[in-house]
Amino acid sequence: MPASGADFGVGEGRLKALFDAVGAEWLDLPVLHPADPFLETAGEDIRRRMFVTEGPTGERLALRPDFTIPVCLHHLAHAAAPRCYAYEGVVFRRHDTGSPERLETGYEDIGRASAPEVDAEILKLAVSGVSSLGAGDINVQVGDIALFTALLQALEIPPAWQRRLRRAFGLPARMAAHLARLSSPREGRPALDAELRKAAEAGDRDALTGALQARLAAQGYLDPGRSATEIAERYLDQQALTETRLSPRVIEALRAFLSLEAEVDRAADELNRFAQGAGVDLGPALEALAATAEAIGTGSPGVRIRFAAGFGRPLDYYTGLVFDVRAQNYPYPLAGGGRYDRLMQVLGAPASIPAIGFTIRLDEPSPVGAQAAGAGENA
Amino acid sequence: MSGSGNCLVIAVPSKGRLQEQAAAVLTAAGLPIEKLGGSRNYRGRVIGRDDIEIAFLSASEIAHELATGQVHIGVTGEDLVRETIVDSDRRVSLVCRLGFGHADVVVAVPDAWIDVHTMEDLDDVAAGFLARHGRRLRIATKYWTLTQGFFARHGIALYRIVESLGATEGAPAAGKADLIVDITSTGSTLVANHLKILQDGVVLRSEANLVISRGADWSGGTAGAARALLEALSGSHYPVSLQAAEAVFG
Repeated sequence: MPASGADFGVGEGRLKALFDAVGAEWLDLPVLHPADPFLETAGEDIRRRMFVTEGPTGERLALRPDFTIPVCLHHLAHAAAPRCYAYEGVVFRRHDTGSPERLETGYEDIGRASAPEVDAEILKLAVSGVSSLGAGDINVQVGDIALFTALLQALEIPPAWQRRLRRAFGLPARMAAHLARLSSPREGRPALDAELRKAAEAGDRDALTGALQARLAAQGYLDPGRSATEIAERYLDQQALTETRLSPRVIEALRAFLSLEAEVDRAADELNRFAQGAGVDLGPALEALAATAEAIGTGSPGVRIRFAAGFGRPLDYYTGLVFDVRAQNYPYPLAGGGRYDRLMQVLGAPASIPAIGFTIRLDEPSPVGAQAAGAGENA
Repeated sequence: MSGSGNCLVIAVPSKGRLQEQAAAVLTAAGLPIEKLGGSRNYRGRVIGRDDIEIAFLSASEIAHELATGQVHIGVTGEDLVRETIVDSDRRVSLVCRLGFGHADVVVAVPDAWIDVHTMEDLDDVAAGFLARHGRRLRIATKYWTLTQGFFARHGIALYRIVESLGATEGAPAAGKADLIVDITSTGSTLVANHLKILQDGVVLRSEANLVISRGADWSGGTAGAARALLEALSGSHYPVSLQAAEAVFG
């Protein structure tokens, strides 16, 4: 067995009763993992936060910065059928202040078909988990990138710009910059040299590809990562990117959507009202959200669940519902989760595997009052 | 190094043109330096001054010693300060640009990438890369920290850094990376390697700086000696920020 680093016996986590009741399998995961899967999925940005070291044969290892990826890799290696997993232990990340060690517990549901009822069930499980910590009144924020994707399609925005805007979802400053750009497009691109210009101006894909291929070979590229075909295709498609200018009506619709917020039981109505006003059809994405909202219900006393259309996580493997759970007595979200149907494939699964889960922080509480008095340092 | 009582320790590059230019700066401040015991020694002094010690170090060592407070003042490139010192503004202060050692840290891509001119283009390419190629976009660089910070500011996280220990500019053609982040002064090496700098791809315009350490021991006359040095430089028309220096001296 690997050293677990957990300060509990396996299957005896703080939320044991809760996770056992839904049939979760408790995992005892190693503290040290190959670093690459974390970097491949979350990108280089996480490298600054990770503790990376070398194994005996020079392989790069990391102190686990989270549990989700190790759990997914475990599932990939050991299970074919849908399973749900629970875990508890310390994760290691550099923060600007406070300890780099944090105790977390969590739950991942992997392989079960994506459905509104499942999303609602997992969200409610996360809320129950936070409630059981005695954290006071709870505020949940819910978002869904599938709705934004549907809106981009309904507004008939060019595909290359749809991809850019999707990547900026959950990053308000970038989104604002993109929308400003789209209201007044940038000037053209630098001129090509004579050899390439003829093919480019004629829009002749094959001729441009051929010319680029010859150039890469002449420049000694042994194995160009981006092929001549890819470069030529994007060059020609890109005309759309630089020349795209969206009408004020479309920009206004995007802005209105991103600022839409409502209590979760009112979310579908508000989205319908928005869609009618903007003259768009959000189709199955809106039906799914309406079903999820209905399955979530009106919540319970002391639990408030709000939908925010612009709320999301800027990681390309999140595909649908995302949520944060905050509690009255804490200055930071106590739990975060969401649907990540694309992650398993990024980690090497041959086909898409639906998955959803969440993580709850269990480290020393840093109550709001103490923080305000300058005593807490746990951001 | 600062063990010798309350000496003001000044670190100067240990070789080449940078050493000559740094020595010229100190001479302009009225502090002509000489090496102790011949040119191979790594310690020196200011002629006629017992309260100042000169440490000849490599430029990257200078950045490190400034960060840890082992030397009070150093002459080194801003690129090394920003790259090697975590949270550099909290640990050192760049009080004077010295007008030599100019070099830019830039993002450069193969010039055959006719569809890529800006960081925004690169963001598009990075985003589709995994699906298309089964791996992330790879960047060869010696400048990990600068690259991570710059790409994060442009909202790009989906790439991998490939360690480069030299001849970074050859990495794309050799198939070791897709693009590079590297230092260039004239751009001729990039052109020779068929690479182009992105329009908004200048990560840092670097030059040699007079850098003072926030963590060094500034008691017992060291602050006074440093102040005199900076005032003399200022009198010789160097763009010294005396205010920034005073904030360090306390």
